[in-house]
Amino acid sequence: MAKKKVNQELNLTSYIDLMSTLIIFLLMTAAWNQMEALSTNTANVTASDSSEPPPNETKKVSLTVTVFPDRIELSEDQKLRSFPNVGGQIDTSQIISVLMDWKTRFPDRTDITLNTDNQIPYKSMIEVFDILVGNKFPDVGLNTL
Amino acid sequence: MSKTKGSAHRLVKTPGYHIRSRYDLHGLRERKAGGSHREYDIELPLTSMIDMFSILVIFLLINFSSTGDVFFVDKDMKLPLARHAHPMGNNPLLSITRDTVIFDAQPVADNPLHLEEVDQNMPKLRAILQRIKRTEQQVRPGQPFKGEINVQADEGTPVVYVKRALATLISEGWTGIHFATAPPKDAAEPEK
Repeated sequence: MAKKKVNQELNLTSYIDLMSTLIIFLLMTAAWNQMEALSTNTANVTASDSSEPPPNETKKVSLTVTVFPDRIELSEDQKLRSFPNVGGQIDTSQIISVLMDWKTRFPDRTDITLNTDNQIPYKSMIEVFDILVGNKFPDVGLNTL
Repeated sequence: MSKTKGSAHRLVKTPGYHIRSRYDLHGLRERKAGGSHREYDIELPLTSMIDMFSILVIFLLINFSSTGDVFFVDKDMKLPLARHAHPMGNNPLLSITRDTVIFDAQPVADNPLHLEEVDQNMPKLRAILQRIKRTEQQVRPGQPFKGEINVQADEGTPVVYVKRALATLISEGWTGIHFATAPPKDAAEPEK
């Protein structure tokens, strides 16, 4: 009895055509520049700021950063420290040293309030926001007034 | 062909194969002429190529987004740089430029030239936000409204315009605000 050939070959031409077309389309429409974001949740900040602390709980120290066109102010309740801009740029080293000091004294605190003057560019606000997040104060509350 | 008078030989001969035998490629010439009857059944090994194609297609399909709104950045808009940002989620997009405010490619307000004239009320934006919020609550009844939105603005935009939009967002319950940023050129991995 003659042996019958059982080796069959799949015709892959159309499959490769389809794959090539799909790959070209997907590569062309792919978004390669991944955008990033800095987040704020104003609901938490507003709630925590407006509500009175319970009587048996000690009052939280208010940590605030205010950005002006010519300087930046960091306040811990009434204690205010002001750092003028250096060469038109925000003095980041001074801000970082204060934030590190705060972090040492208030290790559990992650929230901070960011105030901005209306005249400053958006870039300055994000720059300070980024510094705060980078120095372990991720819960930045923005004051919109 | 006519012969020359008085001549018995042909003057013009059909040229033959004129490469000298020293440089002749016998095998090739014979194969071209069909002299050899051997079968050349060559098959390309396509397995690895199909594997690669499949993996590439799956990867690209996973990353494919049919809504490009999130990644829409106006050519005149330069995003501020930030080192400690996280990847941006797929939320509605509010774009703020020096002149106008755009919600998902739809202009919703103008930014007046003089900052003193800034009106905090943005009725068109407010109406859209309320409509989306209503729809969200109808789709997911009983669940709290997250109110997440991406905000992008040109780095030179005065903050007062951004604050005006933020005030509207917050008053309508959109409190999860994500500011779009670009990574710096020398960006390293953010600290955990």
